[in-house]
Amino acid sequence: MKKIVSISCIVAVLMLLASCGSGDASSSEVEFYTDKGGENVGIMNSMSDKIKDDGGVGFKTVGYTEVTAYETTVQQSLDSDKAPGLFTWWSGDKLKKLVDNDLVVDLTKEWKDYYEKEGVNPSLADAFTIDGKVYAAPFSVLYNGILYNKHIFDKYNLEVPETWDDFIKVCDTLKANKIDPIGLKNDPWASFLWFQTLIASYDPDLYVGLTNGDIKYTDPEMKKVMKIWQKMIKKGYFGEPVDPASQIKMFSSDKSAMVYEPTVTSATLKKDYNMEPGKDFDVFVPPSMTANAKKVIFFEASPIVVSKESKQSGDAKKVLQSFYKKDVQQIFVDEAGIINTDNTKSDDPVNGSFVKEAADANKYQLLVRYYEATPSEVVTVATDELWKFFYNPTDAMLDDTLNTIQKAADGAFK
Amino acid sequence: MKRANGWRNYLYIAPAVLFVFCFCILSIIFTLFISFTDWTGLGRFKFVGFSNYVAVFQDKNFLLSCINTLVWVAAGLIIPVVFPLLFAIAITKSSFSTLFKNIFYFPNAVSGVIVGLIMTSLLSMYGLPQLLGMLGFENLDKNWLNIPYVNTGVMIGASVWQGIGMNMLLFIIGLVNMPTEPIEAAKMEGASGIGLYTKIILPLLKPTIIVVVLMSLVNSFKTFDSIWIMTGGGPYRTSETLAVTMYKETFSNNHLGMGSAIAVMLSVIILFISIFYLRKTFTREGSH
Repeated sequence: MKKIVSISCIVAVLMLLASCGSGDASSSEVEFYTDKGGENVGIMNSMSDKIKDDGGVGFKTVGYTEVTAYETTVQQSLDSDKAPGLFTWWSGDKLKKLVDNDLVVDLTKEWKDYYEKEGVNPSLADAFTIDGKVYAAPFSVLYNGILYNKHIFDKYNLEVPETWDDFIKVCDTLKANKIDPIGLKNDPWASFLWFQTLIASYDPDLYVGLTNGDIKYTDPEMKKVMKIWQKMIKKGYFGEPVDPASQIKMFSSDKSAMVYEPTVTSATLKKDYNMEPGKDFDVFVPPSMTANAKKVIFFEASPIVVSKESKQSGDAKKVLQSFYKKDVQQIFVDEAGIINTDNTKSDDPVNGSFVKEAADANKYQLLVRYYEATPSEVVTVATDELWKFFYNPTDAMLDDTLNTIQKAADGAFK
Repeated sequence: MKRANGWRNYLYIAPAVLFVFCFCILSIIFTLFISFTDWTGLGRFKFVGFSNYVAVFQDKNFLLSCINTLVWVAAGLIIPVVFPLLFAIAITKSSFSTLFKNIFYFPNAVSGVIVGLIMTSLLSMYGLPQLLGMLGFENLDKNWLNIPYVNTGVMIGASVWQGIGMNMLLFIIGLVNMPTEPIEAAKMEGASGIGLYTKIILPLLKPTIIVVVLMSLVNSFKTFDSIWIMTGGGPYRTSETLAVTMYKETFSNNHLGMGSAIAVMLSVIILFISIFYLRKTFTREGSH
């Protein structure tokens, strides 16, 4: 009897172990993994319900809030049939690595047949194109602008700057009145935000050349841009870098006048800080340093990709075919402020208007932000080096920063 | 019959062996293997020999994280060993020992991540620095966790105290279960005060001290959660310890080969120190 009990226990343990890796293959819903967890999970579930109500294939959202854990989990699953059918990723070099390893599905045909017809901007496909094929669809397209606190601007009679000189004058006035002109967040990756903005304001071609390896970081023009940044840091235009929540809190409590953020932040400012878009704050595009030059808007296109090895990849493509339908995307606009298609309506005068205006190619040049446009080996080094420069903006550090990033670029572009 | 019993005994430990083999031994072997490759988490492994180990020593960030780790270890040996010992001595003589035991042990029930989050809020621009600024110390109204090198000291102060409760309990158990005869004899011979503690009580408490020191040493080397929560190793990697560098290289930078090389080195360092410390301590004890 004892022997039977012992063997039963062992068998039970082995079955338990075996069941740990079996996954949920029987589920009819496509698994949709995302690093944009938190409240987005509920919103995405509502979108899934809407798709199902319309007779389409729904999805089950698995949200992560810790990016590193998310990336590791997805990477480890991608070469097996238990991989999630859909998952959010990063465009640029990180997407290319998945493509190079033949892990994601080519969606070129789907773009023409479905996404563009539903109002997704066709030019966004460029951000997801590798060797002539499109490998992703947009989860969110975030456009960066300078959000400014209207109370502070009104108090000191400041106008939205049209030229770079105007912008510097605004900063000088704010600094003279003991207001942090520009609030910063201390995220390890966030050091490139003003770096990219200053290069593009100086010369957009310099930025493009830098990110594709045609121009070196040690180029004399790059040194000129860094000198501008150095001067701004030394003049105290940037507030002390703080955690992201404090950055927004300081902006909302009139301690800092401007923050360079995706305009979707407008929804957070309204919901969490009772700031009325258009009344308490608004947005402008960083001015160009060259007269009559187009202003540059940086955007971050977060892709959704379909796993090639997943058992669910067929259904995953069906989910994406429904994902951009007007009534489904309207939920995303209303609940999260994320605007992916031009047939939805946003009642947010800051975010909604800015996204519409960004599409005006005569006025603005859209560029993919540095994090996605540059090889990850370079970004890893650059984000640390740029912080190092920010905290110690000496001439020696300026040279050291550019030389160190160039060394990484030499390796990446060889 | 005897043989049948022997077979059955192995079956009893089989689940535990299976677990250890699957989740520990295989992981160690795999980590060792990928430390000799340039694996990025995707695609095939390419054998690169010892180049990850060489690259690690040429990396300025690694050398800085070694220094930071040593600072954490030094602090981790002083604060969570000396203070609990003093508290334990005081509490065993106190009338409210149970109350004090609970108060000091309570922080141990909170996870390191939660402590990290609380401390991050407390030390944010809306916390202690702002309060000190309002009291007139305007120079202190800064984001302390953002000041390179200073932030390591701030994080040590903010997180090492958490281990005091557990070590204090171990010391109390050691003090309570100590044989009373040698102490009584020493008192009759005229020993008292600091002399009684340094010559009689602390030598008798040595087995507990050995365990506490070793645990604190290993914990200090492994320090990760509080740093990851409070600074993420920043700014510009100035507050990383070996455990944070290992995690960052492996999972943030996708250099799994290099991260594994750091993991192997960290494990070897801890193993070497533990063996050396235990052997040295017990050999000395045996020779007495």
